[in-house]
Amino acid sequence: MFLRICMILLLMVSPVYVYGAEVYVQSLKAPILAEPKMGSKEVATARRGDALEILEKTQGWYRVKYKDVAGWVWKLLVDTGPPKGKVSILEETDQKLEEGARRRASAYVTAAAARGFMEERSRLNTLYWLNFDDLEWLEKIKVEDERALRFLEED
Amino acid sequence: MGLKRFILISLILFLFTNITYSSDFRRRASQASEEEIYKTEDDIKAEVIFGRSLSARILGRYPLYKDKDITEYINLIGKGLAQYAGRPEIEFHFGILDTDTINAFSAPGGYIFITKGCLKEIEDEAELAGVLAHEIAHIVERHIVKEINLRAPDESPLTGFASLIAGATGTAEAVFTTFVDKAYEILFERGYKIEDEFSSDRFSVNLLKLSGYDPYGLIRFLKRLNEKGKVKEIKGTHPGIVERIQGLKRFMEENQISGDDKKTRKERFYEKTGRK
Amino acid sequence: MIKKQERRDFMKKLAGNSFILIVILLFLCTYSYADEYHYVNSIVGERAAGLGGAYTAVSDDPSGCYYNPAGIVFAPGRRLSISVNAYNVSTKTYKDALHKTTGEGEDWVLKSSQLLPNFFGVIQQLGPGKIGFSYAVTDSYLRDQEQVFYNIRSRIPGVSIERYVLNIDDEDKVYNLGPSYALKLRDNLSTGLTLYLHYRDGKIIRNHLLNLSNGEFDWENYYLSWREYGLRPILGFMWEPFEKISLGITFSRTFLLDSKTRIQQTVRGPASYGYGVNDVDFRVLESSEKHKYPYVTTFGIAYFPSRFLLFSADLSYNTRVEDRKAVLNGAMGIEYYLSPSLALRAGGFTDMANTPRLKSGVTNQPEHIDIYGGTLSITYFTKNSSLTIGTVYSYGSGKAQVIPETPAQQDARINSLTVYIGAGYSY
Repeated sequence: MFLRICMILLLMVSPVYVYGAEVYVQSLKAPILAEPKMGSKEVATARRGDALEILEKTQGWYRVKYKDVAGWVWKLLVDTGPPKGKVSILEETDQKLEEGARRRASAYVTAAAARGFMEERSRLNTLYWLNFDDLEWLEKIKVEDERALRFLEED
Repeated sequence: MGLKRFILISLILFLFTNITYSSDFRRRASQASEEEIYKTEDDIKAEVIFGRSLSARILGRYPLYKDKDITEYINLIGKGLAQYAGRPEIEFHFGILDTDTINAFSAPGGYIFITKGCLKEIEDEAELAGVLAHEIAHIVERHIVKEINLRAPDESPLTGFASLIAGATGTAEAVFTTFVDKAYEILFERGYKIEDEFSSDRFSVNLLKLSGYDPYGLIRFLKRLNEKGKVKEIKGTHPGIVERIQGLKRFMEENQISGDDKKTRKERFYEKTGRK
Repeated sequence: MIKKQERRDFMKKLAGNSFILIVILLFLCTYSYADEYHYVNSIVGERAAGLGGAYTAVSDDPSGCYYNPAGIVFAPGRRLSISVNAYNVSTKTYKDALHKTTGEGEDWVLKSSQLLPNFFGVIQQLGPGKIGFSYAVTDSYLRDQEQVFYNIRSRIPGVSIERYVLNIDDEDKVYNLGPSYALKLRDNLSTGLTLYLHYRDGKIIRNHLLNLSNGEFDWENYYLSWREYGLRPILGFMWEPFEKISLGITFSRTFLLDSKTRIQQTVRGPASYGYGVNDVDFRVLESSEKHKYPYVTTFGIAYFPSRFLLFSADLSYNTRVEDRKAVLNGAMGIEYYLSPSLALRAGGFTDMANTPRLKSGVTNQPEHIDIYGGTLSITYFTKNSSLTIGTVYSYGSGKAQVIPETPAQQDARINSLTVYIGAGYSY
């Protein structure tokens, strides 16, 4: 009885091993290579969203299991958690953004005034200019990901 | 007797069987790990909002060169490259700055700028892709985000209450503006950490290979700049060009990456940039 | 110079002179730096208090400045601050301290209640290590009570005390305030130093009015105050010998730089003791004698089996000093996360008396009460902050001799309940 309790306690507090953890491919495709070198032979190609089981970790590379193949994948192409959709703040209407900016600005003004920074800030404002107009021009140029991929594959 | 020995052995095995020893064991369930921070949707939104402010400041210094065709061209290349990088949640934007200085900038949240002066020194599409890939690297590896510890403010009412009791001062706004100032300083004065620059160079080579470009794109461009003596103009915020070229050479040798002359797309580059 | 022996002589004198006045004596005996009989007086800190104060090997947040400064270098994030406000109620009961003329015993109860901020701390990165600043109220009580006893036996044959009015206004607070700095010596070994300014301020005001059955009365007023300044350095080390295990050790002591004690007393005794209508005795005694605090060593071990669970245990040893014994106290705590945003903590601790056990047949012995306590707290976490509600309950029993010059001993009981709210913020 005592033995059983001890075993259960031990198991309950056993360390959770890192290995056996999974990562997901974030980039469009992630080559699984024979060695942790970008120029080595490609043994498989994983696609965005595929799950890879980590077997080993070294600087900048993971040795993983993909389907029935083991190989190395570049660390920056994967992450814990499946790939997320695009995060954008431009979904909010212009008006909302404006309000937000005003709200933020006024909250800042209160804080700054309270800390006596008002004068310094208005001096800085004449030193540089926030050019949101050009930024908005740039953001209006829409290029879809698929079209970009095709462009890359041309030729 | 057998029982006691069993327990003793289990205890010893259990205490010593951990293969990896990371001081991370102190971290409690309420604390995010190194790998988890900066990655919540709120953090990414904060990153984009921040990046826009920083971009607006960059554009305040160097306005955009508003040529729709060329801008579209670099967006096609840049967004194509970005597909092969590891941040699908970021909407990248690529713009050309109207100045003859030779430089390229990236702001968190996916905003990347290359100067007209820099474009003039580029001879083919692989070189352009190399420069853009280096900037994409700063965003994928979150160099500025990590250096200034940029995270979404915690706006739950409980936090406000807790901050009141615990005596923290300052509002998110004041902190935000300070961050923008700091990031601007990194871009225009101090420069990124040297390791971050080398790391971005290596990333560029990898990204070029993955996306089907000649991996020698960036190194070729840097070599030409060096030979032409155009070093002074970019030195301020980047480590020595000679060190970068040597670092890239070593990296490509170690990783057995070879050039591919067929993937430079020189003709398309000349056509799109109006060069003869 | 008021030495302890002088104080006892003075008490004896009063005893010889009048007294019936079991009562003044009552007061005089319990005149002491009240909880100078115990070393674990206040368990401070938002997280530490839930763990029974077993924090020497954990200490990885601002309360680490108080428990083991070496630990603050393991705190996550750039800047952290915490603050705790506590409400405490405690009672000390001396059973049958007084006896009525009918023979029954009457308890004497001392109650203390107060609300105070008992800890504030902030830590942040500075150079290669972490710097901290904290403030703790390590001991505090506040008594404000009036009591009336009727028909109490006195020592004078044939005379009883018809009415005894006893008004008490006692306070004592010990503050620790100061900076800390910690450095990693190796990846898993760190050291830290806290330099606290120690400030203690207290007073005991007792007003006694006794109406005797022979028509006479006795009135005495005592105002005893003390104030001391000193330094309390705490040197700590933290070592993580294996994964998930942390060991901590600290050494500290309070060194007094200045101390002032003053006793002012006014006595208008009963007529049959020679007091004429307008006779009032007045006396003031002052002393700058610095009293000695013990050397304290604490040793702790903590085991972190997972991100959801933590066990911690501490032992603390206070050396023998002046007429107080050496004391060994222990504490244990467990922290369990029900979810990444909710944690539960429970702990237990001992707070043993630093006085010897009372011997029979001896008079004027200080009380000996061993205390045991338990703690419980719950914390809610958001991304950057935490809010904690917790409680500490302790119970002690032992013996006391509240009546001087008599070998009679009383059973004594202490009950103390603290409820606190704490908040932590990272920015």
